[in-house]
Amino acid sequence: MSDRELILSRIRGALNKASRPPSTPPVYEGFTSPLAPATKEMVRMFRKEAEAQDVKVHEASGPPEAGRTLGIILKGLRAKTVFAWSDAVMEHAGIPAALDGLGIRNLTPASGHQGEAPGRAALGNSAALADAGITGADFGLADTGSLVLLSSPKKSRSASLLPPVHIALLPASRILPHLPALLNELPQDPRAALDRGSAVTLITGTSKTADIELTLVRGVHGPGEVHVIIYHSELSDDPERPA
Amino acid sequence: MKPCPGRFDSLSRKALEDPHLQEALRGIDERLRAMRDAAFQELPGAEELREQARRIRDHALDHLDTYLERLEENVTRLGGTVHWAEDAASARKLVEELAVSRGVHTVVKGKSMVSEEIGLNDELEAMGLDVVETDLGEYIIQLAHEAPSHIVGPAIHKTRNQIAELFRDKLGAPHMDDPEDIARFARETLRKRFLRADMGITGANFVVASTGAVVLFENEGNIRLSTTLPRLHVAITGIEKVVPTWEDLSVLMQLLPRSATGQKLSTYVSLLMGPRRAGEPDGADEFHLVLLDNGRTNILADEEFRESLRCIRCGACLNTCPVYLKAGGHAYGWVYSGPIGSVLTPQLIQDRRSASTLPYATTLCGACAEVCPVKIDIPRILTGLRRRYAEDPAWGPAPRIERGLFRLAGTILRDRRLYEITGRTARRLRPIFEPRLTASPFPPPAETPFRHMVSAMAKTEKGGKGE
Repeated sequence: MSDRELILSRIRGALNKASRPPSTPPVYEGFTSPLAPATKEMVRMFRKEAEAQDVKVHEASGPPEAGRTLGIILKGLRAKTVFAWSDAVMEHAGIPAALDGLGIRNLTPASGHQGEAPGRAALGNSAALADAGITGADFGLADTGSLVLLSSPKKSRSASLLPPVHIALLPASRILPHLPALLNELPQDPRAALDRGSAVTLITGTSKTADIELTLVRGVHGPGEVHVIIYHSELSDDPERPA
Repeated sequence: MKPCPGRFDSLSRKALEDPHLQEALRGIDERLRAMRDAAFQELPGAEELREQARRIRDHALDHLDTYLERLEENVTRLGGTVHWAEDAASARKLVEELAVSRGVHTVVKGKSMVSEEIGLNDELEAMGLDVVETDLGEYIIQLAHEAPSHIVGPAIHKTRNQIAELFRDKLGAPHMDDPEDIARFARETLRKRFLRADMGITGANFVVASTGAVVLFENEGNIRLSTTLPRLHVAITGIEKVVPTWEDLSVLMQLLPRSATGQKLSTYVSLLMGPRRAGEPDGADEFHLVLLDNGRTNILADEEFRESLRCIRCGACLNTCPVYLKAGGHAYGWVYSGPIGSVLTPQLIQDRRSASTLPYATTLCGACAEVCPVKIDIPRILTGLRRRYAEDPAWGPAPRIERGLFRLAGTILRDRRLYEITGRTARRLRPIFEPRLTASPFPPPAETPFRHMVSAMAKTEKGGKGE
């Protein structure tokens, strides 16, 4: 008997089929939020929670100002190189132009033909060398101040992870009240998941550890400094916005 | 690691005399426990959430076969591969074969209690692989060749000076005093390994049946690195970690970080759905999920103790346990420590008899059950385990002398005359055996029995009232 058959038969032997309780999972109705979507209140709460996690929150009136804010942050960091996403949100906020204007080099290797991924080693090494990683954020969560990043061919997972500083551009309209609201937006079955990226990453604050005498240290493996630029803009025509 | 749970008595006594350890344990009590309590006070409907979490875990266990098959189907649809391992050896062999067939040289590991449970590192190192733990705490204890002493903070028993010394001896690090410097040194050392690793091995906090997702919580980023950079990702998890849907996950996600560290959410939560899609610049090309039994189906078959499998490994019961907070994790003799360790170890290890003292490593105060996010009635299980050890031949009978003594005690305690005679004899013999009792927790008999004091008091009281 294979291990699979063995384990499943042990489980069936352990659970008396006849006396099993109902097969529908218990439902929870307890998640409610007093916050209406895309409101100032939601942004205020996101800011408060994110700042409590040592995230530096900036606000911009629209994409052009978001690009300018990014420039100011990068200048403050004396950044010479970045590792950035190349999706529509980046274009929309004029990030490539802003970087050019500042003379900052984007180390992100270009995709090969037909969207083929660049080499693994090349990608990791460039991301690790960059002074800052620049990404969008597909969602924000107001009640925890979290960023939610979905992976895709133009949205690397390394950009928010390997550089010492992470800067994320978050459209205000994408801030959801809480985690349960996010899980409604995610693919509900593998067929839907296959059409989307392989990873959903929630980021709340900076990389940290308390493994030495319970003393908090930031930036142990991931970024020790995180900036969020919230900008106010309707993005309903964004092709990557999930239905 | 090899379990040695029979040594709780001697190990805990040694722990009490270790000033570094006692200092570290005080920190857990004052920090982790306090933060957990504060986080739950702020959480609206916390009690309802715990109750719902209990229901979800029970439901998943009641239909474990269904959900595991659904999980397997969905992971496969996403392009991943599911492996089943009935015991530790089988799981080690699976990972070993993957490493060999894929030409793996360097392995980076995220913290995984299951991989500690099956002793994976020793096996992979014996094959000549470069295996490195990347969670800072795990990295420290790997360098020191020690076992984790806490589910969440594995190196919590070590002082900064001990760690700095370890880094100097093993890694040639300069003298460091600041945890900040030590962490930076570890970041730089480990970053090089991440960039050249072929395989990342992690555990899983949850696996979601309906979507085939593996869910990982962390604060450092090492798990993200382990699952993003190497071309191969292997996640190893116990079969009990499955939950039905995203919705169920959202309930458990509210409770796990709050219970573990008092955080609303861990810094990073990764929901991983299969290997890298075509065109995605990073993430593993191959994803493998190993589902481990290793004694879990025995617990499932045991209706009295089945709820032990609800555990989501948050460590809250450790942080609140008066015994753990004095004895530390190593005294429990295996990977799982604290109250939940005393519950799981006797049920999971081969030689059950050797763990018979663990159900007594408790005051039965009930603090663990009060904080458990999935409401495991740990004190009930511990007393049940005591009974099992005493009565069930399958658990190995208690030593004959112990059984004899308990039977004798039972006879004496049931008979008032016998009890008084024994008490009188014990008081007479006191000068002889009292000097020998110094190392034992058993107190010497009092010079005047309590019941004599009570009757004397009653007489005085009556006399005082002038009756």
